[in-house]
Amino acid sequence: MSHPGELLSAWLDGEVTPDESDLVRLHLGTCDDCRREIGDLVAARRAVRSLPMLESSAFVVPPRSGAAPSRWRAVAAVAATVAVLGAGVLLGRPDHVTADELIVPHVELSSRTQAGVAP
Amino acid sequence: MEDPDRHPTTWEEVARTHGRRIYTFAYRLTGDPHDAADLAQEVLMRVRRGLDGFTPGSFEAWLWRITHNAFVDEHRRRKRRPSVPLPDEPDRLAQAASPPPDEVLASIRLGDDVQKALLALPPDFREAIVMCDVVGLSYQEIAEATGVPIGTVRSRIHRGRRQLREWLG
Repeated sequence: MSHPGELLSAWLDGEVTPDESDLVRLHLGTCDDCRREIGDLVAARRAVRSLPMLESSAFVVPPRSGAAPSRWRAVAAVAATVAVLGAGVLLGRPDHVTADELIVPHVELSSRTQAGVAP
Repeated sequence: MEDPDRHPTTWEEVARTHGRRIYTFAYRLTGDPHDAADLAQEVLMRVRRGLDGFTPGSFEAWLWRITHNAFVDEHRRRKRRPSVPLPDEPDRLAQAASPPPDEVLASIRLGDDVQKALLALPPDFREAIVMCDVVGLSYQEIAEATGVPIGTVRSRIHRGRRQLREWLG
C-alpha cells in the first residue's frame, strides 16, 4: 500500500473526506514510517500555532477624509507607545514590555487563545 | 442575536475586528514590524477602497483575497529591489544534530527560531501555513484567498510543515 503522503497533514487538520480518513487510519496502523511522520507534522504544526498573536498600532483609525499614510504612521507611532505602556499597566506586567517594543509598532500577546483565535 | 452573515460595513470596523489577525499575518510573512505595518496598512487601504463594492458572500474570503494580493504585490516589489536581503536560511537549525523529542519540543517553542524558519520557506508555503495555523482559515478558504486548487493548498501545507520540521528538529 502506498504511503498517504500529503494526505497526512490534511488528515491532521480534519481536511479529508471520510474515505480518505479511513485510508489514513488503516495505513497508520501498519506503517511505522508514517506514524513517525505524523509525529513530525504535529510538532511542526504546534510550533507555528504556538506563535503569539501580535498587536499593532497600524490600525489606528484615520479620519474619514483620509490622511496620507506617512501621517498615519506618525499618529501610529505615538499610539503604539501609549498602547504598549497602557497594556503593561492594565496587565500589571510592566516586565512584558521591552525597550524594543516601545520603538517598533507591535507587541506580542501571550497566546492565540487570548487573542481570540480558534485553536 | 448577531447575524452570522453580517459583514463589517465600514473599514474602521474591519480594522477593529480583523486588524490583529491581518497584522499578525503580515508580521509572520515579512518578519519585520515596519514591513508588517506597511503591508497591513495597505490591506486596510484596499479594504477601504473596495468595501462599497463588496457583494454579499464570504467576507472572510474577500478580506483574505485582498490580503493575499497585497502580499504578492509587495513580494514582487521587493524582488525588483535587490538591495533588500533575503531572509537568512536557518543554517544553525538545519545543521544541528537531532536532539531527543523532548528537547525538540522545548526548542521549537522558541518563537524566534520558528519565525526564522517560516521566513526561510518559499513564500507560497509560508503563506499557506500562516493562513492555516496562525489565521485559522480552512483549506477551502485558503484556496479561495490564494486562487489555487485545494489540492495545491494541501500540498503546500504538508511540504511546508515537513521542511519546518527538518529545520527545527
